[in-house]
Amino acid sequence: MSPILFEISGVKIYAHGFFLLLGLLVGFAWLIVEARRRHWPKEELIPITLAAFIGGMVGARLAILFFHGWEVAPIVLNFYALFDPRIGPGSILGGVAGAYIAGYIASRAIGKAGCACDAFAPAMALAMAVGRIGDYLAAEDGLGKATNLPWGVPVPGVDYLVHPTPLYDSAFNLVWFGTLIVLRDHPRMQDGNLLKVGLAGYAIFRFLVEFVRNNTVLVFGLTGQQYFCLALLGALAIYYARQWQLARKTISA
Amino acid sequence: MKLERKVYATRGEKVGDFVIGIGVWFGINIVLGFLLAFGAGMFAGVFASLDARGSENIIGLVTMVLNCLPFVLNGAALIFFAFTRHWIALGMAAAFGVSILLVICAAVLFAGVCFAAMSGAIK
Repeated sequence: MSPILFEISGVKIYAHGFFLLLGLLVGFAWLIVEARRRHWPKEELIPITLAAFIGGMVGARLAILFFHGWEVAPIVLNFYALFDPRIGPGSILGGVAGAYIAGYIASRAIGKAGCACDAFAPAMALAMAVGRIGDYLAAEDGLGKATNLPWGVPVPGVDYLVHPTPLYDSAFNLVWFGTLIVLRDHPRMQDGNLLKVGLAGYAIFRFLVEFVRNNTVLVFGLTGQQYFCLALLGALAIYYARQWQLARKTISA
Repeated sequence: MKLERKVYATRGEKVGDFVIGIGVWFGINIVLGFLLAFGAGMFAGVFASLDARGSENIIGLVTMVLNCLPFVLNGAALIFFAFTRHWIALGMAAAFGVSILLVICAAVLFAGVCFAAMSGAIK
């Protein structure tokens, strides 16, 4: 672990911030590649991406209130704290939710018919795969729970090995990125389905990995992040159940 | 209330509204920042001088509500302009987005540890 990645003329470059920025840049770059491939016009790409970025950052911050409780409210609810570089953005799950909502509002505002959001799915997975390396190097949240597994890693402050959960996240997202790339041209993975499948996949993974992370347990042995994942999976299940019912009605009519 | 969407006839109109959006975002947020800092300070001073029981809690709560206001105002303004004069909304969003991106760039030099890890230290 190395919270300070390197130094340039005595100026420290921090791993968390570095990989956060690198993850965002890589994600944006992939989004542009994907948007070009899908012939997505820049008149739609720019406002939707901009809205998703802002929504993501605000969502990431506000979600902390749900995950960490009311005591962090003075910082979370302070708009100007968004511009404090010493405080990281917050929760990736909140970021995803905020980006989705803001992107949806922007799509409606520009009168976009249908959904071009599938371009976001592999870009998000790639960005997370890169960004999580910074979390590992910064030993964020003590990385994970104690383990005797051969890949357990030491963290400062404790005398036992722990799960390197950010690396699990990074590895999953890299594999998931490849999976989404393979799926992206499938006829059933169009009109927002690729993004929904991408989100569902990450929600299932995140629900499971939370069991070895150090996040606060709310009730019934589950963390706020796990409840968030369950809510997301529930919403997607309801959406697909309704789509399936509509399709059946159309066929029978 | 039905929102009327402006139809832009020329490139000049679009650029004009985009620049207005940037100005509006910085203008509103800088002025609001000063007003809130001044207002919260004044409120805290007046309330503390009353020596009321639990004044710290009330000051904290009011300050938090005041600090929360820009979230509401920025969100409302962005959504309103997105459905009426969307180039103003785009200008505001560009200013907002670039500001956050600059903060993320600065985080490379200022630790930028995740919020979760900071929460203990900033309570």
